[in-house]
Amino acid sequence: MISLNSLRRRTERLALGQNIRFARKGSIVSIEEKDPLQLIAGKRTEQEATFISTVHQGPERELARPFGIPDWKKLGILLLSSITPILFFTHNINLDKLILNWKISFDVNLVTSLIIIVLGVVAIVPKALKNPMLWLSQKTITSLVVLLLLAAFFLFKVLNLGTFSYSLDKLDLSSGIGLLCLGPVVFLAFRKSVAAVAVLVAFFLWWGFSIRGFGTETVVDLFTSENGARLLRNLTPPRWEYFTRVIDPMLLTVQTAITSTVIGVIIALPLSILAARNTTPHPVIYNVVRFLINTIRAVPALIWALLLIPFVGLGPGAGILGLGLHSVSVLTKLFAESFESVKPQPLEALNAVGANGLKTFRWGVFPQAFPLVASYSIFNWESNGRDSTVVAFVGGGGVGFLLQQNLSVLDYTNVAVLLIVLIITVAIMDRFSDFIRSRII
Amino acid sequence: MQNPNSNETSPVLVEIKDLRKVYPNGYEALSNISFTLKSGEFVCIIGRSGAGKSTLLRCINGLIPLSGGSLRVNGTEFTTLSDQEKLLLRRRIGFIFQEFNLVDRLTVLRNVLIGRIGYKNDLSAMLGYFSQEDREKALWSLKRVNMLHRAKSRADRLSGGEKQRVAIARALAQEPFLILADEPVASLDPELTWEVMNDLQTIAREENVPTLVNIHDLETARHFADRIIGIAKGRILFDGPVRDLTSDHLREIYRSNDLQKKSRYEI
Repeated sequence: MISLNSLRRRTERLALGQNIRFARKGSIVSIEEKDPLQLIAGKRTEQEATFISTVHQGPERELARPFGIPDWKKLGILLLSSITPILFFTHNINLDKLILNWKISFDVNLVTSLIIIVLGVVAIVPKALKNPMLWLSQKTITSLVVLLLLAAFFLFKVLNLGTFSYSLDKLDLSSGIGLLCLGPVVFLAFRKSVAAVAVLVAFFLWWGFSIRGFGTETVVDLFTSENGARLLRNLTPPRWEYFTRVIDPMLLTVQTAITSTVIGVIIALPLSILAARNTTPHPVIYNVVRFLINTIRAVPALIWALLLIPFVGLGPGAGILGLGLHSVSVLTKLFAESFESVKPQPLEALNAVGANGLKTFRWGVFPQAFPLVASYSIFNWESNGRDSTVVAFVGGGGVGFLLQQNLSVLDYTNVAVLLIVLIITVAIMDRFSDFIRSRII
Repeated sequence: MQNPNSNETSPVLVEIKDLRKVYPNGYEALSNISFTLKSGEFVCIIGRSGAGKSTLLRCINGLIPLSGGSLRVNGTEFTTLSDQEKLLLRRRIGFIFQEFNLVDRLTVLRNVLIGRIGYKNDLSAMLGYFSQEDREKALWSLKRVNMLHRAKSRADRLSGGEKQRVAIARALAQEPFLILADEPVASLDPELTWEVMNDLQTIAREENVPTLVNIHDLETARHFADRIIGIAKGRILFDGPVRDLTSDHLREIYRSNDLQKKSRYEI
């Protein structure tokens, strides 16, 4: 055991009172010399770290051999713990269903406030314990206050979230035990075993493909279906007289894309300043904006349009606002990421000439991030052009609306015209945005 | 309180007493630093990597807060200033970086105009409006470092030496009463080193701006400096004119932490 020996040597050297040099990673200054007593009290030394890693990860992989020395013990565990789940999942080993009749119910307000407090404590306390100065910093105090206010907001039922209830009648034992058997594989995957990761990916994909109603017969149907063939025959020849009535809705679709993108960019720019780590005025604001944006993004644009109909009525308005809202959420994230990716040195220079946060953003962050910001905006315009077709299903006007009308009366010759126009328009927008992007960068 | 932007220059421009800097991780980067700078002085700071040279410069213009001691710049006590007042003071302190720190996508002229940004209000800074006075000042600074012909080209098209000259022009456009340079020539070849140092020295002499330069290369320091400050392990070991710097001092300044290792000045 070489590492044990080195550890012993280290202790001996400490006893002799010799100084050991080490550099702390990530800190601005490297610590060249330290008191032996301080060293013991300090963090893990390099030797300790290597000692720990050798104990946990087994012997070093021999780099000269293409596959290293196979670790038979590990491979055996891997094989066993990937075959047993297969047997369970395919019900080759069949266990009965467990009758449970469990009922879970809790007050959502109470649990939400508890979760907020626990998450806050997890985010703040370990950092502050390491660095006691943080307790008194303005950032920590504001974070705590906001956290408590949020928790109180939910606790005192300002917004009543009701009671959650879920009843679990029976449990499929085979699948449950199969999942448990995968435990060692997950453990090995975290220990950076490539084979274990491959096994996990394989299971994940297998689960994805095991949908009832999708399989080889789907592919067979695709090529042998009578109805499908009739539909394809019906699409041609397109009824070109219909074309005159398509142009205006098509232009409306492009207009919708423009309006919603402009709404998106105008709102996303200031929001993204708050949502980027290096430009945000306060971590609390950063987290709040991020949370808001992620919530909005989780709901598709079509659903937003549907939800907005009660506010603005049926028509292009709902569609534009829905798309705009979706653009805001997507663009804020992308803009914020492009702000975070700028080089920090010019920002230091701006700081040194006496620029405040706003000026630093305008002259340091924005010029560097501009190509990304512009190309994301144009890309968003293009994708809004595509999405507005779907959103127009619910709002009046636009190609989407005509498509839905014609599809519902099975008028496929008209649908063919609509599709051709749609494809050409999207292709033109695509070329156009590519051209502009190539000019900016 | 004294106006930090007052134009009357006292003979002693920077006065540092018992400056101390302890990083949050408990590492003492600087301790017992005391010296003064007079107007027009060209001072080089020498020392090993990690001795605290960069920390010292960043303390002087307030980029990082001090842990103790007093720092008077142009008659104003820096440590008691609010953040807003620090910005006002910092706009008159030019800072030159090793990596030039220009904004690559902007033109040379815009980069120099950034030096004027501390004087603009938020609105005109956001709109990017610079008055004719600002522009003339920026063009004059560019001319001062012989870079006027590149005013319209983008900063990332320049060579290393040109970039550093633009950075000097940016500092000049600030109308500084003090220039700090942190390893300004460390990424330049010997020929460019000489030119850039020459520029810095000329500006210090002609504009009467005291300049504090961190530098690795001892020969360059000896050639240009009026005065040399040697720092090791966060303490000043030498402070005086170049001719007083002996090999004994150098041995102390460049002494290795490893007792077995011999410095090149110990032979």
